[in-house]
Amino acid sequence: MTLHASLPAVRKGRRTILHPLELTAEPGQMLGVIGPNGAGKSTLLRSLAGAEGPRPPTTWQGAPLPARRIAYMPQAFQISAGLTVLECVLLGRRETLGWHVLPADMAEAEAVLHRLGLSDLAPRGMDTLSGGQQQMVLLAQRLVRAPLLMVLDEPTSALDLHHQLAILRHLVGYARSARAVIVLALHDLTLAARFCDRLWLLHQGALVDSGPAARVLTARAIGQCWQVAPEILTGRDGHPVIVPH
Amino acid sequence: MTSVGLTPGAAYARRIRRRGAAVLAAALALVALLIADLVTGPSGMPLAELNRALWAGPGGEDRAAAAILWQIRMPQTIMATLVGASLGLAGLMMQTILANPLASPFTLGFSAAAGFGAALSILFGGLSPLPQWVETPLAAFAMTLLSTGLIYLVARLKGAQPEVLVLAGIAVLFFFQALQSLVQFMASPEVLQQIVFWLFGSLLKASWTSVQVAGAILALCLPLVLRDAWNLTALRTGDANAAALGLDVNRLRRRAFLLVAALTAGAVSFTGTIGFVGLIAPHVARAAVGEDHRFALPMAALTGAVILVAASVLGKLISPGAVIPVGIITAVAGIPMLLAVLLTLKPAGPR
Repeated sequence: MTLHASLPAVRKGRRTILHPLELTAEPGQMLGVIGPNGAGKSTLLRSLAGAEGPRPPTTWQGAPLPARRIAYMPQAFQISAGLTVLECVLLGRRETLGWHVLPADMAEAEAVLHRLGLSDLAPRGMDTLSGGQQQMVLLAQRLVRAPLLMVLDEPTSALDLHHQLAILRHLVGYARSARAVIVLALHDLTLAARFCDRLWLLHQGALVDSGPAARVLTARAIGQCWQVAPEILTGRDGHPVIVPH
Repeated sequence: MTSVGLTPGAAYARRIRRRGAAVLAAALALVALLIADLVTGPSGMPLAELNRALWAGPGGEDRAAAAILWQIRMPQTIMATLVGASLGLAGLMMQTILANPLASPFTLGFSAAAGFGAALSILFGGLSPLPQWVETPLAAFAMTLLSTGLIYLVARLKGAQPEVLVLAGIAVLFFFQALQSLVQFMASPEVLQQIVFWLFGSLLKASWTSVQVAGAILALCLPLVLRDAWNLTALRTGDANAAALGLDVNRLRRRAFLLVAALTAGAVSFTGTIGFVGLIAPHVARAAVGEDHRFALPMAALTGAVILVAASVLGKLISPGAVIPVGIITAVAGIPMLLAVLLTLKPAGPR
């Protein structure tokens, strides 16, 4: 295994909101964190990204993974600053930006915007964008960091169907080409099943199951965790399609 | 491709040039105002004479002109520049780290603390072996740092979130204002007059010593402030986002806060309370060059200097023969300026 992280227990007052976890992943993988509201998905992601207390011991091919190579995107965002989209993306390279923006940094920012289809938005002010557009810009801000580990909390929550698919496809492409690991929380189980190589099912702060979607997403598990009786169909490409009832 | 057919990078380069031009224009305006400030004064001095006295230096043959220019006007003009720049810079940093457009050294009690320190020194003057002209600014300086220390302590204990800092700042403001009132209440009419005069905020108190101290503080702080330009810009994208980019948000806030304290203390201990500059300059700067702090910080400093030097010129022109304290000018002119900023300038959006 290439990525290994041991997450400590997270407590709020006397309640344990996340039990200790050992996470492992291979490069090029996209891993979905699923579970009902309050299951501890965001806490797990924050903890993994080092945004919840001290950074947990995380290794990449046996060596400690530097914070610089981890890109975390929290769920809530609201940017009212008078910054342009391009400036916002450039900020992703905060650590290396000098007084002058180097051509390499600029080229990378332009390239990421182009790949995400956001080039037209580059000169626009962040405060003039829709929520979905802002979310994509923030994703671009993470991608210019060339991370080895991306930790994304519902990165498609503000996006329409077309952009959800486009962004998830792009993320899979990034994971494969950059040999990076992407861990993301998703509410849409069908999308999670289709795009993630493995799923981690959380319930009440504990890891209930992990593995390929077809194994994790059983009618019994979904019924137990979400209190719904789903109908599970098989999609064109063989992935499970969850229809809640 | 954008609508005008430029790549994002090329459009950005053009924007950067435009911002550079705006900063340059502010610098030129400041130079023009500096000259205007040097030629105005109760004793008058035409431009040609100013030019002669300037080149002749402090030891020039025309003793009267040399004394007026080098001992009276020059320190005041330079002091106006330094104080305006310090307050503009401090104001922008404060508004950025507190994510609050109303924050300024004035609204968070730093000036009130300085005023209390000065009032205390004037009331109990002569208690220390230091001469009054050293003791009063020193007391003002010390009290400003003490007020900062109080807010800093709260931030250390409770976390440096904007709400915590703003509330602590407001508490400090009222606390030192109350203490200031107490001192004024206890003072005799003569001492009261001196205290009130100090509180006005006037450049008449400027001397080469104050220029050296305020200049040294600004010169020391400026590189430290500019080093955080990108970090401050990143903070404008929100705490959670900035932290996710690997920025230690609380540490940045505390660091910026200490710089704000030093800049404010250096500015107000010699001149007294000067409001509104630290509040308005950042708004003008952001409207002119956007929120990229590589440009907004120098622009806020220049705008602050422009406002204060302009106030100084105005103070000398309004009533010939007398000099109205700049603190009064900025306070009176500040309100319409603030309203103008609110009404005419687009507060956010890239430039």
